[in-house]
Amino acid sequence: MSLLTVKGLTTEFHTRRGVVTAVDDVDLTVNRGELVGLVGESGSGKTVLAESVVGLVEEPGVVTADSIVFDGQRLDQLTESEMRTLRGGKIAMVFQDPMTSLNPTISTGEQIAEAVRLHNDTGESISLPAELKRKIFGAAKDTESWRRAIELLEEVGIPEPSVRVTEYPHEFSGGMRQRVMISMALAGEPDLLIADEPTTALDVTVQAQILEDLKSLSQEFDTAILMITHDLAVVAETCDRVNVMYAGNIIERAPADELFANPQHPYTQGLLASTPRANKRRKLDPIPGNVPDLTNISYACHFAPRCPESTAECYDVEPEFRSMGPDHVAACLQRDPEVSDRE
Amino acid sequence: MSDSSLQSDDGEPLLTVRNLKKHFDTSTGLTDRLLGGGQSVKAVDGVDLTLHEGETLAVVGESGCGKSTLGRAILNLHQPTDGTVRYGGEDITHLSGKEMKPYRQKLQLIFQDPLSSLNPRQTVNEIISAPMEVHGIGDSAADRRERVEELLVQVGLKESHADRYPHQFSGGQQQRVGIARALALEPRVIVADEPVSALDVSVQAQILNLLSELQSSYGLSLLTITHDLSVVSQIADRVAVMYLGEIVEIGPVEQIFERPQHPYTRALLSAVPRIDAADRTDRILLKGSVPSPINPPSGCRFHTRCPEVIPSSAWPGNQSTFREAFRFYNRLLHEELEIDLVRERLENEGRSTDTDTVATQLLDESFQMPIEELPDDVQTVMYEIARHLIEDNREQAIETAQGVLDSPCKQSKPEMQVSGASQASCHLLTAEVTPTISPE
Amino acid sequence: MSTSQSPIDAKADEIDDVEEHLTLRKRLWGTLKRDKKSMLGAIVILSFLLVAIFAPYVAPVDPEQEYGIMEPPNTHSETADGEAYHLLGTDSYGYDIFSRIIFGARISLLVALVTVLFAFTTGTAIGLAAGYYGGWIDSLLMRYVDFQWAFPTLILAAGIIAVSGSLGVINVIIAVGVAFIDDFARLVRSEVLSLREKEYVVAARAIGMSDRRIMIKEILPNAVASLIVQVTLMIPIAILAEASLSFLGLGVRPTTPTWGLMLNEGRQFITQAWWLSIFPGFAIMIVVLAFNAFGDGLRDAFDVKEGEVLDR
Repeated sequence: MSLLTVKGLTTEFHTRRGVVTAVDDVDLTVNRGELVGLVGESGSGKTVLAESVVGLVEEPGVVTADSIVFDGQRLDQLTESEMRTLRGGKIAMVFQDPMTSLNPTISTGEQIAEAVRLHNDTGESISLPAELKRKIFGAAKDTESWRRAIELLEEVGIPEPSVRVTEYPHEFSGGMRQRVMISMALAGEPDLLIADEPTTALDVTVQAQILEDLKSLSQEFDTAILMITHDLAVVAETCDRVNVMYAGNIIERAPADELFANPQHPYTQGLLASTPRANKRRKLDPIPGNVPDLTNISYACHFAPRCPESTAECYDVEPEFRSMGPDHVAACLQRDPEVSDRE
Repeated sequence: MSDSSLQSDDGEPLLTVRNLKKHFDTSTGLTDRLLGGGQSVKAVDGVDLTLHEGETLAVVGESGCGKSTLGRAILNLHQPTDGTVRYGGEDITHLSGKEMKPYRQKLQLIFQDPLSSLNPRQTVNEIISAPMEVHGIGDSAADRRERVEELLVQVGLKESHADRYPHQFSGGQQQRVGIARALALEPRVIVADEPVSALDVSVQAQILNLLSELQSSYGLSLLTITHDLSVVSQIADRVAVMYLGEIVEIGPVEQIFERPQHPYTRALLSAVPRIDAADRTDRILLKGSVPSPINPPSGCRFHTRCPEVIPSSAWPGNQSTFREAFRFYNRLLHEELEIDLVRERLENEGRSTDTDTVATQLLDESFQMPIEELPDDVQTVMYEIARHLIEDNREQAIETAQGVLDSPCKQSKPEMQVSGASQASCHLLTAEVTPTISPE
Repeated sequence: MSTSQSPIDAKADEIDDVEEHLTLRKRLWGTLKRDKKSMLGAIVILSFLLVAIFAPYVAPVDPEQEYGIMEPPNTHSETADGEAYHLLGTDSYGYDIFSRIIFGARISLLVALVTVLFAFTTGTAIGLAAGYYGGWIDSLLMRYVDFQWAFPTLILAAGIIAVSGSLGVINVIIAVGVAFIDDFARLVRSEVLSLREKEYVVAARAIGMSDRRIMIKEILPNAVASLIVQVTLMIPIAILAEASLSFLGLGVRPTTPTWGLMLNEGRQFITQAWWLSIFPGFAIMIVVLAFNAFGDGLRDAFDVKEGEVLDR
């Protein structure tokens, strides 16, 4: 069953140079416990899409949507304070750079414990003076939230959690910090975890560990994960379903295996053809040109100028999703519905 | 020892690096130096490499392994601490700025961040013609301008782009400008430091293709520094794997990717995410984090994280139990075992804090398997170590641990072992210490 | 090149419009047009400069001409060749204050500009060398700068004048100029320290560019924005320093018309004739405020952060 359903979401930024349509009338669904990939290059709008869903888009951004439904609740009708309770609670987030998201002057344990207190009823006071006291004089160690912080660190695979819990963010390596972020995200027992390039800043051996962690946590807690990344291989390894985004639009959507075995949209095909594979040398077939500037795009299919198959029609007619097979859709005028032209 | 055995082709390599070291002094000022507060970061610590005419050698490693420093030390942009760099037989290691100038023409550099590598206040024409001006190529500004336009077309830009400023280009185009600048002097060797890692996937492929096209048309030798193994397999002929300032394995790409000899290379390769399900292998997950290059581990530098670390001859158990105990030992050596915190936790939970309870708790927390799975006599030794530690007797604890836990990997540095066209430095490959690995 | 110019690429290029490159001058003009306060500052500065240059034509009377002493503002004096109007009155020697303020602008602005120019060149050279070479050169130069910085500007300037043994415009310029060197040296050094880590500087070294060329062509142009801002912020301080020195009697020779000296002379009569010191004080205040307003505008135009220039 679906956990998050986004319909007709558009996010525009009004700048001096014109209107930047970062997300352009996008639909997105995430089912309970599912790992969904949102893959795209820089400027594709993947991060803005996620921020729009959880109400994190700031001035001069304007979000409009037909509906955003999370767990039966209309997110687009919530007040800011209701949204705040939800964020970090039922919807948690993990970002690319863990160092900037952690407070360097407070022990990691206290930071996790605070998240625990905020989103669970531990019977501890979360009034401002109580929180300030903990920040200044150190956390109370005989509390429910502190014990839970240690458990959470253990769950994300940090060795000696009872020791590490008292340490400060700078004493952790990059991968460990990202694990701390994940443990904070888990504090509210979220139904949906939005992971925005969670492994991009990490080394490949650490990335492998974090991805394994995320997969097993998703199973253990039945948490759905929306994995935002530019890395096709990361999506291929972790996700059940994949959405491919280009210049503000989702242009193809399919189960991961199907997408990589049988890509339909020329952009997805181009992206796969231009990605080098370890231990397989082949001629790379790059997509010509560059990702477009999203200010005042005047043509219908945003990929048309770079597309090897584009015709005049592509510049004028908005491409609708066409079914390419079971649970597989692509937005391209050059593809006949249901008849997949395998090359 | 040397990789001269790898020279299947004609004689003298273009670039020969021998025992290259670059240590950075962390002391900042005079006072630091006087008080001896500084330590040295061993960023590159004894690297041997050769680069042949027209080949691409990739140096691959994780962040902090010293690969970027290696590239710059080879180009004499960092003054090497020790060792030699030879270009076409000439020692260029300690040349001054002036003496180095003729070689600068032959050795060029491409950067990771295309924008920051281009001066924001100069036009593309000024940027690309600067190297020609410096080396007195071209008779006049107009002459050089012509050559700039030629270069721009060669790297896939337009002549009219010469008057633009860097920020007016996309990332991929900026990288093309950077490549044009490197080509302006018609170098023989280009060191490319992460040339595509700041670019979008679709643009990466353009630049990788451009680099290989230019390589064949100019007969360039490329030294590519990267963390991305997919990029390595795409463009490199040979690959050198770096870990903590040292090269642990070097050889032809196919051989290294198909039959990696060093446990670190194996772990690295297994960690690469793959698009095609068929390419996926069992993950070898490395535990612990990379040690500091200020005080690198003795012997084989990878021994603190190595999943295949060789048990000491005194070890009665199997390799997997040794690995656990060995990790405990390493943490003991690095003062990472925090008795006070264990004691405090016991107190908070209202339990006794006598030596035995603390020892049990410490071992419980430190081992990821039940301590009872260790052979009996080893268990006794572990408790003894813990007790020494609790009684604040670290030396005694270490001495006791040494008896059963000193792996050959920790005792001596492995020599490079040749295997086919590649070589790796791992004790597993040397005959004398072939261990009895009993997989779990 | 098969990868580069396909027909599709050309089509993409048609759509691709390039962001305009803004030179320093364009950015400056844009800011002035947007920011009324800095525009006003610029106009005031410009008019003071014009007045100073054309002082003999602008001033109603000769500043050395003596009239009745301490005539209040808005009075007339009878002279041989008619009547003289004293808009701002006359001083204790009987000089016309309005004319002396106009002529005083010459000395005050000249001293300020030359002083800052001197400090700018010397300080930039020191900062460049210290930041670029580092090591013992840096230690040596910056220890000197620290040493100088530890002295209050005025005391240092007074000391230099005392040592040089005579009063005069040149001595004031040298004294204040030397005292300002450290500000520019520090600013330039900190800029150079961050700029020399930029990859384009490494690229320049990899090309084989000489150190001098790297400093002048690669590093300095990128530090220019904050230097210009610093200059506009230092000029009013130089004006004040000159006035202070003159006020203390350590500046230019008495009877030279400068704002500081006028202020000093008027001080003794502040209870009988307020206009003697108030008007030169106003002149100083207006110019200083104008430079500050203009400097703030520049800071926005060049996007220099508050902390990057040294406010004093």
